[in-house]
Amino acid sequence: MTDDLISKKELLDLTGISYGQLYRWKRKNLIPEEWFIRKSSYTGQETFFPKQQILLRIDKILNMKDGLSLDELADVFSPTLGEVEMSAQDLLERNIVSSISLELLKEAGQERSLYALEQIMMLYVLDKLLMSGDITRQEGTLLIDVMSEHYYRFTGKPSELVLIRKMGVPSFMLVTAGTELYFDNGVKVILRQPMGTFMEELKLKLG
Amino acid sequence: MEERNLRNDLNVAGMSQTAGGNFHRVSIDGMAKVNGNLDCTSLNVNGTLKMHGALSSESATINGMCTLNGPLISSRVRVDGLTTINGDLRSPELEVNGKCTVRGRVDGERIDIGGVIDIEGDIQCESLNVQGNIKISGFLNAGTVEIKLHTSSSAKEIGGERIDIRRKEQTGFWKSIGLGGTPSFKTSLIEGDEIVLEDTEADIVRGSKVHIGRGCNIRLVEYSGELEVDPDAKVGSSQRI
Repeated sequence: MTDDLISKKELLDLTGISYGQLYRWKRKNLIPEEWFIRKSSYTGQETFFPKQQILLRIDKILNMKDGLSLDELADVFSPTLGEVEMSAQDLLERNIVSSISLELLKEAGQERSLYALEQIMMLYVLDKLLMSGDITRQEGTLLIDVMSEHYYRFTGKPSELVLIRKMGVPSFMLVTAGTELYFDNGVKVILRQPMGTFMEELKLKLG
Repeated sequence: MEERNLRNDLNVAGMSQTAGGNFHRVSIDGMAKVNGNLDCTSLNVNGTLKMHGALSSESATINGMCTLNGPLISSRVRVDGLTTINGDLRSPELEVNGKCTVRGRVDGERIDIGGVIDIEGDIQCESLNVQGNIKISGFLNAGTVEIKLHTSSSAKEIGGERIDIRRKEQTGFWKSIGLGGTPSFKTSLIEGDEIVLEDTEADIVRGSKVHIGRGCNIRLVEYSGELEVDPDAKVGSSQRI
């Protein structure tokens, strides 16, 4: 977990939302339970949130609120997988993934005629990381491995994707969101991102 | 899943033990023990039911005594007797006129308590209406909270939009026997948009429109809109934020 936390009071000040709204969103599962971090402070117990995640989430809720009901929003933010099936052609046409990642998937021997949401998600993450230059093609293959093998274990649970390199040798990990990880000195954490954010982006694209 | 109304009914009159399963209507008029999960359209308990497993039904009415060792999932629950749930309770509509103990969390939409409820976990609902005694060891998160204090109630923390906790005047008989102590509410933290309190003891109250009525003892009040304090209330310090 990053040390970058924001207290509830600061959060309400910064975003201008009220206690009522915050708690309503919590009830509607727009803000996950595990983001409410309880810590003791000089005034007693206080609640903190992971700063970047909560600010991004609140921004999204405020911006999308007009078009969607709270329940529909909850659907966008929930980490569960829905019923979607798309062909490679569809994915290319709708600009969700590029042909590079589809080729990479083909090389890994995981080509399908129809892709379920779980696989689309994998492709989407792969594509995003490749395009942003965060990972190499070789690392992309590793990503396909770890996601196709283990991502289903996190169905309905928040997870994070971690990429580390030691002496240039890359390794991918899927971990439960918020897990603390410690490495020896030679390890560099290249990337650590909650899968939820990928899923939200993807669901909005598919929606 | 098979159509629920094509299933058999389960009727217990007298004493019986069953393994559980899927039924249409279940009615317990005697003493029954269910050793597994129960899935039914309606459950009616007029006697005693002891269950080892999960109960899921469209409606559940308990007039007698009921002990569940597992979660209860239903779209309507009414407790007029004595119920203990050793698990979570999930029901959009919950009405308790007897006594209900839940050793897990409670999720609902509309919750009406006319009797006594004791919850060990958190409770989450849109509206909570209490005319009785409530004890929540966890966090209460509700759109509107309306509590008419009869005896001493408590919650660990409360968060919501409208929170209204007020004394219910006791008269005659009930006052003279002093059942359950004087009306009071104890909590460590109340956060909401509109807050009206009476006879409440809290560490911190935060809100935009806050009214601290008679009999309150609050250490710190933080408000953004307006604050009214009754001369009969004790407020340690208040701060406009």
